[in-house]
Amino acid sequence: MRSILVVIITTAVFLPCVVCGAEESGVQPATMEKYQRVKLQVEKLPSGKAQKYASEVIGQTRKSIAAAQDGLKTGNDKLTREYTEMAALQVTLAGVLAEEREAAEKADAARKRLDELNARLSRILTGKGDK
Amino acid sequence: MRTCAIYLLMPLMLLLSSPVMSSADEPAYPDYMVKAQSLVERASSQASELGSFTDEVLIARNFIRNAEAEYKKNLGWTGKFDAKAEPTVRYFANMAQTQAAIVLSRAGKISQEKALAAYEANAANVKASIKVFDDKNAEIATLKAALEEGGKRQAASVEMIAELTKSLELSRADNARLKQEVTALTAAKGAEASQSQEQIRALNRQKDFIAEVGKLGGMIKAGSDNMTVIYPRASIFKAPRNDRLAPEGVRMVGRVIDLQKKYPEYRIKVRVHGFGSPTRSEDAAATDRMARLIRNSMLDKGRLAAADVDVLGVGVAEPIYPKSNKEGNRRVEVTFVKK
Repeated sequence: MRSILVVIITTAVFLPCVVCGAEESGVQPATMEKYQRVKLQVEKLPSGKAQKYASEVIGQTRKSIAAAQDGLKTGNDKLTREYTEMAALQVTLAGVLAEEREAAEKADAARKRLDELNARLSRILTGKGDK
Repeated sequence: MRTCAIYLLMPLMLLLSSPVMSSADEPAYPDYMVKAQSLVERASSQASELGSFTDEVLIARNFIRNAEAEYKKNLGWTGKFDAKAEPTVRYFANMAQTQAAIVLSRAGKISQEKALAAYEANAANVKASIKVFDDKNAEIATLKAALEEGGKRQAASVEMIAELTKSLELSRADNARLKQEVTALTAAKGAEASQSQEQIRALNRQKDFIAEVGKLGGMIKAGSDNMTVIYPRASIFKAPRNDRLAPEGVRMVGRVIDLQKKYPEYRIKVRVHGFGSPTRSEDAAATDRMARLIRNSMLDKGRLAAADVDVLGVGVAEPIYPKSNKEGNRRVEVTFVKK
């Protein structure tokens, strides 16, 4: 019971100081929240399709989120916000690009299959055999 | 003086500012902006074609406009861009470029999906066409197999027919051989039967002959291949001279003639026996005369062939009874001998 009270009092004393510190650095809470969310998304990127199809975008995204982190460290809200937004957009781009490239891969495979079938049909039609 | 200076500098300022502004009052943007603008235009064009992604294009346009506005805002009157504003301009340009890239990627995905659908549809059509050939090939293969099977069956049938023909020929040969054997057997059987019949007939005839011989009177004596009838000589010849046949002797001769004519396969052997005295009337010569008398009578009356009648006067040489039975020993033996 006593330990709980110590924790509560400590939190009550230090939390305002932390918030005040953040406010003092100039980074808005909304920016921080967005940064955290986007950072999480960036971290998850390698486990998705983007790792296979859009790895270069993942690299760019990491750079952006790193820049946002730098802004956070220096307390530059504008820099943090802009790079966070950039990273967020790049996360979206990575996903979309991965889907496009996956679709392109499937289409390419289908085209190859179609070419094979056309070649086979052509051989049949010219009487050169099926194999 | 000051006003003169302003009027003099005005054209110079206009001259200096003119390269910075384009013909449409647009400044010469840096490369990264031009690139972003170009990408936004491409995205806008793609979105128009697809009739989609309007919001994303709008966002991209806003970014590029912000970049342009920021850029313009930070251009000095000499047309020099304030480097402090570059991060912001670059930020907007990059955001516009990324947003445009997103639009292009989405459009590209749709395009790839359409292409995929088209490829798959075409592939399905080509597969269907190939399947027609595959089915036909399968039919041909089935027909070929059936044809081969038919050929094999036909070959087997031909072989079977050949075997059956061979078997038939063998059967015919067997049949012919059997027919020959049957014919031979029938012939043999016929001959045998005929022979048997002949034998039976002969036996019957012999039996009849024996019965007929039995009717001749006298005592019958059967030999292995002959029949002898023994008559008392006194009943055949007239006593005492014995030179003429007694009536019984004539009847005997007549019956013997009839019998010989009925059974010509026999010839007649007549033997006259004498016994006792007087010797001159019982000896061989006397009995021979008696025997000739019978022969002559047979030849005359019966017109028998001379070769069929053989006579002999035995004399007293072959008595069959003791001396006391004188008349018993005096006898005439008519023997029927098979020719």
